[in-house]
Amino acid sequence: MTKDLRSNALAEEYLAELGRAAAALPVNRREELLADVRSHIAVARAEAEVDDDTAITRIIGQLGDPEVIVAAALADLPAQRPPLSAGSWSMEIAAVVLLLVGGFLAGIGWVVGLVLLWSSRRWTVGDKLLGTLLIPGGLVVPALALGGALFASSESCSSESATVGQPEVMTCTGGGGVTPALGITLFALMVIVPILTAVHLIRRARPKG
Amino acid sequence: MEPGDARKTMSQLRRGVLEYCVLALLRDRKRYGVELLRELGEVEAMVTSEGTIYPLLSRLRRDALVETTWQESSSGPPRRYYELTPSGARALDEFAAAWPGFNDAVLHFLTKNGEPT
Repeated sequence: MTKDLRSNALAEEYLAELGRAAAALPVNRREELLADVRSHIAVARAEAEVDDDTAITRIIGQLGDPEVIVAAALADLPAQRPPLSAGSWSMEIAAVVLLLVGGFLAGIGWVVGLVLLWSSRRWTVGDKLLGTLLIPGGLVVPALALGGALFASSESCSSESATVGQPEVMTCTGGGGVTPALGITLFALMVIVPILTAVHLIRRARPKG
Repeated sequence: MEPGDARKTMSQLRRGVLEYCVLALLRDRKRYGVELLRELGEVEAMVTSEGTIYPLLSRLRRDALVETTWQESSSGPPRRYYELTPSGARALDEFAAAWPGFNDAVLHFLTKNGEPT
């Protein structure tokens, strides 16, 4: 004999509460969960000796707090990870600092910065690529370039002065084969771009809220 | 370690082990949710919130360890039956083979130095 499974206010109230709690779930998970729990209540009512509010209260009580059920469903979501803590972004700061100036520590510092950059969860892959490609070696590159330019120019100057009988050769900046204006622009870019990238990375990593 | 950690660990352990208990209950025949919960409920402390079994069953289905069918019943509403798939049976066998050694290893450390558990 099939029992009369009238819609029950207590059950509907519970399912509505579960539905609200499950708002955080993807639509298909939410619908499956609600259908499963609705079916559970219907089956448990049909199998109960008496189908009254007392029985339904017991069934709902055993199902448990909707929040707890949804928490179990959320724990199963593939991409679900614990939220980033508001504080503690010291690793990200260390990463950016090392990317910028770690190159001066025999290059190792930059490599450590790179590892920190890629192991952080605060940056997207795009940010990480940017940090890797636009700060290769950090400020050590322009520093080396500057040193190289000075060295090359002083070298060329001394050689020019050593050349006897060639007074018309006056320029001594031709060491790298670039004009001064282009050299200064390149140098400025090599300094500014890593710093801008660093600022961008810091802004992206800053904890929100 | 904070005092609440043991309870949290137990809750995670229970959840991890529970899915194999469910697979084990399906070893011989298919069962529906209320039926599974009735069996699990006979053992103390296995399931505290019955509703949490449904996200677990949903995951087992998505992982293709079980498959489901709706069946009409002579008494009351249709039931959603859960049935072990071949890969579900393999997962259960692997777990059943690994568990005793794991259990022994944990007991070995817990009871070391003659301390009571």
